[in-house]
Amino acid sequence: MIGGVALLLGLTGLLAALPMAPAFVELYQRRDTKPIPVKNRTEMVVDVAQDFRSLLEGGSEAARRASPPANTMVLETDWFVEQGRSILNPIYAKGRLAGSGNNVFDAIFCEKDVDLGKHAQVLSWVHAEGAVMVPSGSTIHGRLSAGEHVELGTECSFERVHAPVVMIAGGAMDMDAEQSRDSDEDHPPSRPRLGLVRTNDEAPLWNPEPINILELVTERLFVPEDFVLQPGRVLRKNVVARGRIHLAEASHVIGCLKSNHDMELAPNVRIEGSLVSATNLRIGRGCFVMGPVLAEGELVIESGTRIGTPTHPTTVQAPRIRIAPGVTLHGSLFAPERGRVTG
Amino acid sequence: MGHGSAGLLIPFCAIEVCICIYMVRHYWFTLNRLFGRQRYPLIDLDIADWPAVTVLVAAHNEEAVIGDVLECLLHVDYPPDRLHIVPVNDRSTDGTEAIIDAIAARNPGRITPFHRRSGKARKAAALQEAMENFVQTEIVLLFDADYVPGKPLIRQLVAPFFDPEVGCVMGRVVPMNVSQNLLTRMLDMERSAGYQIDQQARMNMRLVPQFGGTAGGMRKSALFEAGGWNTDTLTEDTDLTFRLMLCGWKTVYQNRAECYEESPVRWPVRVRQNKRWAKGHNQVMWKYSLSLFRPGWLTARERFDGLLLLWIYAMAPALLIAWFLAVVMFYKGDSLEAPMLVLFVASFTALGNFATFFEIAASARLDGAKERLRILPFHFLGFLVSMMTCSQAAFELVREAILGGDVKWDKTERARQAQPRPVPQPIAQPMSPQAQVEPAAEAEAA
Repeated sequence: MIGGVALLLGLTGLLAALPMAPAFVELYQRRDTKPIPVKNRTEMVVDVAQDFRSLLEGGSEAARRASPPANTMVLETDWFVEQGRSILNPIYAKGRLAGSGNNVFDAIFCEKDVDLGKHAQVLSWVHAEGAVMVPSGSTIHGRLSAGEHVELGTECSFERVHAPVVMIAGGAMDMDAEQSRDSDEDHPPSRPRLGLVRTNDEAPLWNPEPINILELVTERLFVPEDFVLQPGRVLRKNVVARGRIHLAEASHVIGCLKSNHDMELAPNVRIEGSLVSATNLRIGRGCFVMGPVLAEGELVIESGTRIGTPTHPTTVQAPRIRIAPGVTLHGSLFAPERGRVTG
Repeated sequence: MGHGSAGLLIPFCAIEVCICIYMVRHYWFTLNRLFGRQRYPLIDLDIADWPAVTVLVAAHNEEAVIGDVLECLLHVDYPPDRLHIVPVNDRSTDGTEAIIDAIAARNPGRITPFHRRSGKARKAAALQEAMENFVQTEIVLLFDADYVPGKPLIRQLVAPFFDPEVGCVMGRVVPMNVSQNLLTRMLDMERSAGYQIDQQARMNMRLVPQFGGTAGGMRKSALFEAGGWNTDTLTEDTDLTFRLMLCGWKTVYQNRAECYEESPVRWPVRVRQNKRWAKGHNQVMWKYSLSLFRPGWLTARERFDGLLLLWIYAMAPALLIAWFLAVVMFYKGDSLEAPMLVLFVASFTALGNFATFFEIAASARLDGAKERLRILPFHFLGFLVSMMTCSQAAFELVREAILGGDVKWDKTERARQAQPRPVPQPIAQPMSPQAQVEPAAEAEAA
């Protein structure tokens, strides 16, 4: 009798504990106890190209020739790709590389300049130490970067672009004198060394010269509804609007702007700070924006606009970006859903 | 049903309704993370004119860990002339000061030690003093001494400040000593749920992500507009979150700005930490619950989410009370007008809230974890401990409010020495025993 009760209790306990069995097994075996991996590298557009180059530079020249990494096509001299040809291996070009039209490439690393040719497609990434020309109708699916400049033609699609200068279908290479002078006055390119040691009472306090817009302008104007800046007016404040923001023609803001609905810049507006829109953002013709530009919806940039300067490159980011011909950017352009140069 | 039963049933049902609201909230957050549109504004900002930043490292008797965090900060991807590090050595009695001074001497111009030898206890008081006397920059970042910041972290935390609406930024905290024991493994999953699901879902839905007081930062102007650090509360970070919110500043959570930390390895340490958080959070709840209803900048959804965030630690004692009421009603035997309701709710609340477990499991999946999901049932144990701890903290707080007495602050015990460091090279090298001994030896020699 007692044995039967004990057996019943034992079996019941076993059944009750059965769902816990995987937990006890994992507790004992410890198969998954590593910390969650954390990224220890700043994500840059040129990362993939740099990794590729590091891979190429590993080992001796002879070893690389015998077994180039990942079936890489190594081009020793200038190279012209015949029309319509698809090259689905990574290309390492020591000279110039030029497509003749309708070419498809997987990945390109070029020590000089690349001209992809009309209606080209790049499936992974392209980087040139010199310039990259992306003629009209081309599509870059991954990253596009250059050591000197990138030219994007009309009707091009892009995702992630980085270069000291990004010219959109005829954008200007050089800044006009007025913009250059003004930006250099407010933001001198050469910075003094700022750090000063201080151990309690002895050394002077670390007090960096305020040269960044986030340090120069800290006053905030909070607008619970829409905000409109009249034509030609100058405002030296950060602006946060719960509604829309409209900056009328030739207005000038020294500070950062944030709208929780659409933001629109009329032609010839000048912003010495960042632009952030929780929805859509339209930058009119001939505007100048010094700092980062972010929209959580669609970003439209009209012709003649310049973003960033050679000494102060910046980032332009939105899920969808439409850029008109004649725009010039300095820094990075990121459109994870769809980036397009209009015709 | 008699009058007595109605008297019990009404508070019982009120508590259950509250718990159900939290259940919906947990499911909503989890489903949003699994299937909703994710918001990571400004996380991909790779090129910008980076502002000068001061990094405060709070340290109180942290000789085991302070060297590591300073070495990591010296190697981050941020313009060195724009980054200044201020270790806030708050009345340490161990070798913390010597270690800080030795590292500062090796890196002239980059570290300004603040050795605080007197003044009010608590981290907030030390930070307030540091802010007033050592911080000249608009952007300030904070780290606890046991944190191990990776290379991209400072940029990721500074980037959101290009949005002029952002007053405060919070990064994701990732435990590094996961393998130590069952507690660290459970805490790893809990932290994952808290950040990967709760915080990011709030970010997605434009609600109220919470500033955690470390691995984050703020604008100095926003902090002072909100009245500076509150030195009277145990959770100065939560207090600051709500004051900034009431002043119209946003707190932003950066899920991909990850930073390793060391989680408690012993249950008593965990219990004390949890009690401190619960007491501090409940202090903030009493202070700001009504303020959320005042007219101001807040949207309706921010007010509602803020209220739920404020009352979350009060749910543990509320659940205990509900259980007690359910038992009393059962034995009174005259409360069966809604027997199905009582049965359903009582059985549901027997495990507190299944939504929490769903949240933990979903976060493990989002993190790509596999086998660790199997230890999920053990979280029932963690839930019971947390519930009892938070309830005890709440009752103690009430008792202290009635009878008087100061709320005590407990420092979280470190166990770094036994742990290998998971951060990749070169910044992740654990300090050699020699390096840890050297500064102390130098100080003694001096």
